[in-house]
Amino acid sequence: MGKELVVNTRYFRMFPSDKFLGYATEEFKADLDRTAFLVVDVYGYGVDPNDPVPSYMEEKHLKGARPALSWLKSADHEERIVKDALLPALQAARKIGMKIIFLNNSAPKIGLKHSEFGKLLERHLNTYMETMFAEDNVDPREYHYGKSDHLKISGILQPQEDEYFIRKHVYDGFVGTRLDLCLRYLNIKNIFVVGFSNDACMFTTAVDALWHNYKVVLLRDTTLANNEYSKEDQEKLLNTQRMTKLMESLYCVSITSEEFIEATKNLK
Amino acid sequence: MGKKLKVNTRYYRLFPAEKYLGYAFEEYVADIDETAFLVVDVYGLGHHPDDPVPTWKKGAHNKRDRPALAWLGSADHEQVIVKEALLPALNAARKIGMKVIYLNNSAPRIGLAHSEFSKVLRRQLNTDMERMFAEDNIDPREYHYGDSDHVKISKLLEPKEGEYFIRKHVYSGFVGTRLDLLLRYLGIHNLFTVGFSADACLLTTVIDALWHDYKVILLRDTTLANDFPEEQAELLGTKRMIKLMESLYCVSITSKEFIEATTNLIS
Repeated sequence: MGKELVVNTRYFRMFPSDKFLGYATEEFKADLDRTAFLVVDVYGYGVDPNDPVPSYMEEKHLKGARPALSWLKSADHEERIVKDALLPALQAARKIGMKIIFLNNSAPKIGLKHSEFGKLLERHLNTYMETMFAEDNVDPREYHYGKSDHLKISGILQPQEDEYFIRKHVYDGFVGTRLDLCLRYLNIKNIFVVGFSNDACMFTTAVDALWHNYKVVLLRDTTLANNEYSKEDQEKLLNTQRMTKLMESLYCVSITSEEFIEATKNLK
Repeated sequence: MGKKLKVNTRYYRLFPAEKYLGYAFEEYVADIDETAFLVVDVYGLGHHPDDPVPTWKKGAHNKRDRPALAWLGSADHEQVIVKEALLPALNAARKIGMKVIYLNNSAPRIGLAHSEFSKVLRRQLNTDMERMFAEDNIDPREYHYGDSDHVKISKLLEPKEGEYFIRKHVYSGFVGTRLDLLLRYLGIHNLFTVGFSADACLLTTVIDALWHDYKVILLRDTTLANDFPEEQAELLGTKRMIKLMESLYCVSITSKEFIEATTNLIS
């Protein structure tokens, strides 16, 4: 048995049926050797001052270009979340030698535009995967090649040597990828998860992690939703909060980035 | 090529980034031979006057017993939804010979108590799968045997002969089941989906259906979520989950629109 990370996880009790008990906490000890830090879709330029200006901010941008999430001001929130919570937690995980796995959207050449998911992204998000997710650092026989910067990761969030980087093509990081195999090869049981978004990619990956029998601990201040519909939603992040509460009720437990960092300083 | 069902599906446009366009419609034509009607977790006694009184309604019940969903008032809402929307739509699907597939929770003997999912259910819902999902009409070598009535289906909603019934053990009907194989064997591409709940079983089955490349059309008035107390009066949680699905996972119609379409099949 290696070192252990001890965290006080939070969850929401949906019982008894006549009056929910609400939030409670439970101590969880994660064997460091069996634990990974999963970084979901943290792409998008602009977090680091040295990043190129993202194309959606340029006047003559690609049709349909947008920040990583679907609403314009999400970029400001992401920047704050990354700097205040996500990156400090990632660095703390690195410091104790936790295995780090990045998941990132991509456009493999598998007939995406014919898929129901490809059609949905076009219809609901005006997002054309084969152009918007095209990259210039891939083998064009395997992935759609192009100059889009949509999926580029900021300088301050780049994966480091020996960290894992897995391309996915739907929201869920387990679908059609080697994520489950990677976790099995590394003998992982516990996943601390950060990233975007908590109504699509991060959410469905956390759900599928549960179906694959991983223990999921969400760092709840490191995420944001797409479905902030109204001005009030966007100002108060009402749906981000609702999605986090949904996850804490039916899918996983959570801690804050600060609690995570604190725990990394007090390994048992 | 057989007959077709033509529906005007609704979805939510999350673009452009500065101001979402919101709801829009798209006509969709579904070949009936390639279409199934998926009935998710409609269990719970009490919809039919001849149903036994459900355990959770009896005075001396185990305090863990509850309606199918987590909140007490959900049972009354389910009753209205089933009678006014879900059952009429199901009967309309039957009338045109659409393939009908039920998904129902269960407790297979696969070490559930050791699973992370079971731990979530115990911790967050006070639900012990091996007791609450135990049934008395199964092979006890395969499933946990018991006299819980939690996953029993009302007489009103019982599957009919020739319909399919698939037991599942997590929210999603695709995980560890034969659902995907069944759909492939039947040559299905389109799923009209009804049932519960909009934030767990129905939601995750819809999501997994998308990953398996099925076209999902939610009948949006046939579902309900595990609403939080502050949401229950106006079903705000249910409404949010439907909007989430229409934004990021599927399209929708109403039960009335579905029924209307079944009476106007096109060739």
